[in-house]
Amino acid sequence: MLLPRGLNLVYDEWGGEKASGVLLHTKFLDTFTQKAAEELERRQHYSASVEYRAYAESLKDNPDLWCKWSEKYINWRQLEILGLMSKGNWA
Amino acid sequence: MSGVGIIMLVHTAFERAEQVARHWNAAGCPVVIHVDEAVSRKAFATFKTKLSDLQDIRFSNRHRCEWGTWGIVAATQEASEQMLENFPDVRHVYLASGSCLPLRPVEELIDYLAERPNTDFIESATTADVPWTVGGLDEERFTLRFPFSWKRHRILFDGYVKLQRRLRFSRKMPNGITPHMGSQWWCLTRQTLSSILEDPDRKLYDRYFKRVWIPDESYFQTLARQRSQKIESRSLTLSKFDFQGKPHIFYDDHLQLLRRSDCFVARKIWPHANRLYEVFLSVKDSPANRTEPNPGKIDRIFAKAVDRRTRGRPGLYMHSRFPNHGWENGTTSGQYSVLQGFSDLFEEFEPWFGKATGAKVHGHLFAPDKAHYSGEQGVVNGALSDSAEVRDYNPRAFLTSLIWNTRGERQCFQFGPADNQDLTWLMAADPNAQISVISGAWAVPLFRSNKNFSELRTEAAELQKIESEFLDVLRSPHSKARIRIWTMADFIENPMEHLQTVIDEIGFKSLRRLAEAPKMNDLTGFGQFLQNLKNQGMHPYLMGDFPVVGNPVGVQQPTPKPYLVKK
Repeated sequence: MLLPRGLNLVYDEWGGEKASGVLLHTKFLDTFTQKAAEELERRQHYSASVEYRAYAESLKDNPDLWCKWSEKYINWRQLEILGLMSKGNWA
Repeated sequence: MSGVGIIMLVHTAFERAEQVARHWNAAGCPVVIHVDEAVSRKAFATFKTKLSDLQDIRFSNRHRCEWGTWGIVAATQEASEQMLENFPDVRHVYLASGSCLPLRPVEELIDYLAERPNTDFIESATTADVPWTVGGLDEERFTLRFPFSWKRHRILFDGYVKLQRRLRFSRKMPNGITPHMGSQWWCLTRQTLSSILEDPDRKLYDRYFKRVWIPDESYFQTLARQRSQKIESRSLTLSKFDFQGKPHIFYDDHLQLLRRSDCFVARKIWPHANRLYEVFLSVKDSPANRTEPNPGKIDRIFAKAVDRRTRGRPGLYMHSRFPNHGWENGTTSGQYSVLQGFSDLFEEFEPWFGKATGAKVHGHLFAPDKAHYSGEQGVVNGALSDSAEVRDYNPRAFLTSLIWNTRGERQCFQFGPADNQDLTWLMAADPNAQISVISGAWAVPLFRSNKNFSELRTEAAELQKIESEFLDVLRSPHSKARIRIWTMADFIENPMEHLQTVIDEIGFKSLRRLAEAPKMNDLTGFGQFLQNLKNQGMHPYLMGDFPVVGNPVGVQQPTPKPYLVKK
């Protein structure tokens, strides 16, 4: 089925907010260094796993992405307040 | 049998419609159901059979109910006639849809209406007085003709409207009645409803309204005004519309919201909102609950949602809010202060200013080497880095992010002609900015430095040019920031008073006036320094007039301590 074109217009240009969410990238998980190593072994990614090589390289010495300004995740409302996502029209 | 009859307009979600019809029926309300003609005969037959075990349920003749057309009114008329004819005990007729859900026990509604036997509940307002229509036609709904479907033949619809406007076509209301509009969902008394249906002029009205745009929101609303003894212009059905004029759909997470509204019926409910159906179809009557419907409580929440969707949070830029230039509804999210020349003139100015204002005072955020955050931090709120490269890639995003990330804490920063000047226009045009400039103060660090004079001369010429451009921006008619500009000579005549002005504007409530003054750099010989620049052909003018010899006015000489001789 063809989806409506409007779905590609993900952000509002006139000052308003559309509904949006957040994806959690696996690099924030503690298993990621192992995962990166494993993917380098498997070599199943495009461009000779260039991204995983970069991840493995930079996370080797500094696997902890936590800093003073990090915040512990509570719920989606917190993410909304932080401005990382929006409930748009939702009441 | 109770005195309240329910008309249900159904076109989809038959299981839910059946469930609700049974609920009404169990409380003793007769129900007349109209099913859209677009529904297949088979689906209709199944639906009918499923409800066949109930008494006091009737099915009315089917009409095609396309949105915004006469079919809905015709269906309502016929179902109403059937109701009034078949159930002589009915005193109030309640118009509902298949996606309506009773929020309170039906007995409460029955009693509520029994206490108000002659009141019609129908939202009805004149078009001139309310701006309800969203992006549509208001008065023209009544004065033009609409033979084409808006949903299926949009081009014909729009073209015909245009043509009629060009020809200045205008219809007159029959019998000179005043058109009224309001929610489609009403509750009318037998008296009012029958007098509308049995009106000798009904043919005339029907012919007129057949060509009105969205007659289901105006037919009964207009005619009830002619007939009713007592109109309460509000709907007993809670329905909310979003910013595009589409009805809000209620889901399970609206449970508490709906409960708090104390409304009798709500629409539209999502057919798969199991929890809503479960909870509201099993609420028990309790005398403590007998309150007036109060949709105001949840109106506010929905108004906020519309505001969030249409105006958004000022100063926020993210993946679902990225306004075009000029549509930001506020470039930044909060107030901030830009201070130019202060840290050149005073020693240790930043900590002093922080203490005096209670604000976060940064150094030169736009310095060429890096962003000098307060306390020389490498990273601040929101993990914003001090890298000059990152900042200069998009200075606008840098500043707006900093202000957004530190919401609730006033930000102040030093600025100067040696810094990145990309944002001068943005800041000058931002009502959130407070910009205070001591012009020409950039000469003080040059004067105190130990550089070769030819080098100083080039640098001074450069800085003076940049600062004068900045001042032009600040003085432009487009600037909206709160701006104060002093020449350095003016400022040092009475530094404490000027500082007090800047601090007062920040609005930090301090009980005492400034007691401790910041220490001004020693300016002995500054006049001579400026004269030397002049002698080299570079005329520094932004700092105002300084005498060549002696100290500038207002700068106090340290007086020698008196010796006390004790005997």
